[in-house]
Amino acid sequence: MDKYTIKRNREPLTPEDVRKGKDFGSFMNAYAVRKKPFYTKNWFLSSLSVAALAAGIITMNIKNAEQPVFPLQSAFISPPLNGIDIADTVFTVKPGQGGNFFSDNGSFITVPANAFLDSAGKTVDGNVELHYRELPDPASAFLAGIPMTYDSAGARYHFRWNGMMEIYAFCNGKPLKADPQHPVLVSLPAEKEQMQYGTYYLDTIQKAWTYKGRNDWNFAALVSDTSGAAGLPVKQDAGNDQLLPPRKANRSRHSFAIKFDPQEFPELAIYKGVRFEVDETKTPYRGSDAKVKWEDAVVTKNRNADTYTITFTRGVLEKSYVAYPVVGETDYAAAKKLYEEKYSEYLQGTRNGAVPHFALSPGARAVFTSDSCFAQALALHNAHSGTNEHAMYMRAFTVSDFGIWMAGVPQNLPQGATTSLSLKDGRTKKELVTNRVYLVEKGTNALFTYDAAGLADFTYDPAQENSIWAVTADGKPAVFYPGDFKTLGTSEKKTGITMRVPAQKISNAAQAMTVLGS
Amino acid sequence: MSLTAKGNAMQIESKYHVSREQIAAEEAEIEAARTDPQKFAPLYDRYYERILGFVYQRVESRDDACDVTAQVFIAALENIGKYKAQGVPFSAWLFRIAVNELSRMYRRAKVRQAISIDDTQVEDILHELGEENTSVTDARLMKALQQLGPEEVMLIEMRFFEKRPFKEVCDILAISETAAKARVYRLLERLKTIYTSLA
Repeated sequence: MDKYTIKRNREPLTPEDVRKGKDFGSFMNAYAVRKKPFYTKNWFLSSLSVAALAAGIITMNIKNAEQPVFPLQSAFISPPLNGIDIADTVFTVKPGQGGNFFSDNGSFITVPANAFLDSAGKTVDGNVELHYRELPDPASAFLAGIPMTYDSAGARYHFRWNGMMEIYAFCNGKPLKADPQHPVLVSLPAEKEQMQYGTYYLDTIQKAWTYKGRNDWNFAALVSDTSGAAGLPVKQDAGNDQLLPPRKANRSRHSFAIKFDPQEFPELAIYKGVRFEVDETKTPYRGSDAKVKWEDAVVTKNRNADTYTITFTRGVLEKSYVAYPVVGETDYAAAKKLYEEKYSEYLQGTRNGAVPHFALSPGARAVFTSDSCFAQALALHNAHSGTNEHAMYMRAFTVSDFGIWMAGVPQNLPQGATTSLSLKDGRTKKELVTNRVYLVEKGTNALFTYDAAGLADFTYDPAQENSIWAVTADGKPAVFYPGDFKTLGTSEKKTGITMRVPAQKISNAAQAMTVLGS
Repeated sequence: MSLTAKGNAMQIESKYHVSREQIAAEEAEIEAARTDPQKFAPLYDRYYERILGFVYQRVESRDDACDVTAQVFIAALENIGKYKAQGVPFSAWLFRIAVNELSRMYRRAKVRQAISIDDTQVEDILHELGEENTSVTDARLMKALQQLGPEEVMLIEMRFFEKRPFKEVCDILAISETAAKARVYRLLERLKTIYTSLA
């Protein structure tokens, strides 16, 4: 038998149909005669204590009007907290032109021309709404209801990730597909991590993450020609107008105080008390050199590095040292402040169109079509994260299908201690009934997921700072904080833990994250 | 909203986006109804037809539609003390009750879930799936719809048959716009997969 009755070309309701049922007087009669449940009658209410009311009436009186339509657990991707989700950013794209788009944190979306197809596989003409959001950490993945497990060869793994984002496109409210011939490229700031990550796509039809290949640490986008370390902004008109972050002198290392021409080295001249500290990995210091009465010293800036070479001469005698310019401890704070001011001015100049030259790695150059793109992404990233970095490590995704993409690596559950858990609701001290429980380790960008049945063998690493997250039946977050974790034993007998449930209403994702301790 | 005929189809003339003044005036009516049920009349009169039309599309008969609609308004009046105005039209709250009431009725087999669809809507949804409208594709689509879950059918109806704006769908389902759009996207993908598997 069919699940649904299909009504084709149905007769619409007539005014007579509407009129028949609409009479308010009849409705009020029906409302009045509707048998009230005994627990709402006055005699019953008055016979109960306030406590009984709270425990009994509220439970019985839950009306469907207050419940969400779709059981939140039923959907594959389903935000677990009522009304809370991770917001997205909407970009408007002219599909014939494409364009470059930045999110607030410096993520960079490159949309080529004709990147979108309608349901018939034709390129679209009208303006396209590109919906984009990032899920960088366990709290955001949890709040967005993203499943973070991966089943392979009969075993279940849990994702650790370094960059995750969701992207969809719509035209006139209709969802669009990505054109694999003209893929959208998304690059998002990521943590500098050496771990090998794979690219995964969340297939919502198969209800599983699918592996799409390696996701290398795509590139370190450097702001200068330095080869590896964080670089410096360098203006296009050569090396006489650079800005160099101050480096604090190390007393245990050898250094020279040398007079230099401030016109020649303005990047050093802005600081007080600059000395040159020998880089002994390049040029070991020889004590006998200090006894020579040198007649001259020549300072030259090394290409592609923030070091200088100091060459001492006396007659035919010559000695060179590679050295870092450093600032003494007493002058360092002022130098750092000055540098930050100058750097801020520089970024401002970048925003105003005075575009400096950046030496980007080849990977970065493939993504950022111009220096100003990178400058803008970096400035946004710094402003968003409250940092003043000169390099940005990014992971890039070629979006062959719209949906959720991640640079991730499947992990086993943490090991070290095992116990049998049962959860209590901190409000009622009664059993907390929940489908899933999440273990989060501070410093590990992973969400370890336990089904309720798996709590009998709950494993965790006691050396870590752990939290447990769950959701109550009424859609509130329940948290077992790191401080509480200290009380958790390793008994095979059931250990009851009391989950803290906030009394206040959680009305947005930021509040929820605070409650989660994220 | 009014119900009008387009071909044989019931279409929604969206009056979802109401002004702040209208919302404020309505809040005064809601406040009054909290203390005196008789003052529920203007709200009832304003929304009865919309809710009846919404329910009618999802049940087999007019009588079922009238019964469920009556239950919706009774539930609304009983719960009006709990209603919190949060910038969302009162209508969204009523539709949410209607969806819940329908779900409850389906679950208890008190009414059978119906999908009301006309030829134009069949053509639209086939177009979404990238298919031509023929008797073969039409029949296959009907089979594919049978394989969707009740909540998926509801979403298809609201978004594609009734062409409700995303904002309204979000308010009715109490989910974010992001979630609604993502669900619609995934749902179409799923429908397409089912549809293709039936070829």
